[in-house]
Formats: sequence, C-alpha cells, structure tokens
Amino acid sequence: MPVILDPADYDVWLDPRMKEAASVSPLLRPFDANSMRGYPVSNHVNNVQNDDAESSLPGVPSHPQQQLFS
Amino acid sequence: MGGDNNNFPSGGADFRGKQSRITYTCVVSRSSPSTSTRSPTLRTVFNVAPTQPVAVNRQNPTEPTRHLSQTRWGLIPSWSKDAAGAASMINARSETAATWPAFRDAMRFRRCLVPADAFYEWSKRLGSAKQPYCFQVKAGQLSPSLDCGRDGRARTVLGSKRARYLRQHRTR
Repeated sequence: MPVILDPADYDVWLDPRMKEAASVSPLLRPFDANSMRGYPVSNHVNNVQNDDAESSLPGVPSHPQQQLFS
Repeated sequence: MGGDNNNFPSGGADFRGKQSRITYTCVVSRSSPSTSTRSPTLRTVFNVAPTQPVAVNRQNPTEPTRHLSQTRWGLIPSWSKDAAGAASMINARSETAATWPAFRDAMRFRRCLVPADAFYEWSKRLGSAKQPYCFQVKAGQLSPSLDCGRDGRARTVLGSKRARYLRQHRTR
C-alpha cells in the first residue's frame, strides 16, 4: 500500500530543513486499517485507458461463486 | 487487528507477494488539497498508472509556499541517461528508501505529496483471476511520495512493505 500520512505530519514531511532521512522516517508507518475501507471493483480498471468513474465504482467480483464476502 | 473490519473484503482474499500488484493506481480528486497555497484546478482522473502524469504538491525550498504541479510517475536515477528505466522504479519501500542509492537523496531533499482519493490493488485467489480492489481512507487523506527525478520532474511512490489492512484480509 502507499504510505498515507496523517495531515498533522504534512508540514514535517515537506519541510526542506529536514535533510536527514531519520527525521522523517518515523512518519512512514502503515495506516490504521480501521480508518480505511476496501471493496471489489470490476475488471474495467485493469485497462489504464479506462480513465472514467466506472473504474472506482463497486463492481461484481470476478468469481462471485467463491464468496469474496463471507 | 480489531474486529471492526466490516468494510473490508474478506473470505481469504490474498494480497501477498507475487499475488499482489506492487504498483498503485491513484484516483485523484477534483478538490484542492488542503496543503496547497495555490489551487489550480485538478482534472479528475480515475486510473493513474506508473509512467503516467500525476499531480504532486511540493514545498518551495526557499519560500513558505507550496504548489501543485503535474509530473511523471517513475524514478529516473541520477546515473540514467534517459527516462527508459523509469518504469522499473515506480515504487520505493519505506524500509529501504533512506539507504537505497536510487532513492536516498530524493528521500532527503525532494519529498512531496500526491493528492489521491483511493488506490487499487489486485488480489489473486487460488485458481482464479486477479480481483481488483479499490481502497479508500474513510475521512479522505493525502498520501506522500518521493520526488525523485534528477530533472525535477519524475516521482516515485513510497510504499509500506506489509500493510496492516492487508494482513487483516488474510486473518479472516
């Protein structure tokens, strides 16, 4: 997953005076799972040419018979 | 790991290792990031892939201002003669970015934020095709990336090696 910063840390992350990696490395921690949601989307997103809203809309899982949602 | 994972796909979807796609596709929002002091209109995009243009928010190194600009997703190492190798350096691991030669200086001197509403990852279940998922932060966030180009234009997204929310998928 990409690193996701707490908004409170934006200033430190972007501060050009922070020239040592050790100064900003502590900010690079996994984001709290309880603050995220995920859902299956259709294969529409597989093609990078498909730059439209359908790419991020909830879609039918490729193999619904496998019960992705238990 | 709490029990509150009702918003997550479950049933054993596996995002590990080779079965997971290590590149990230961003959904960039129409709204202006809160950290921007200037607010040019961002085009809404839903499917940004590595090597494509991506919006970034950067700090002016000499003035207390930040600005949005568009750049190419992918690192061009300082020793590279052209952009051909950038497609292979699209993501950095947060654990090694500070020491890896290709990313070290960018980590120290050229950090930026990538405004995004969501990212995609692909899981593979046994014997089935990869299933794409869209992941979002409930409250809406910005995610940072490295500003890595020797020409000042190329970027690499910094990733966490083993995300907690992905572990949550596997424990169900």
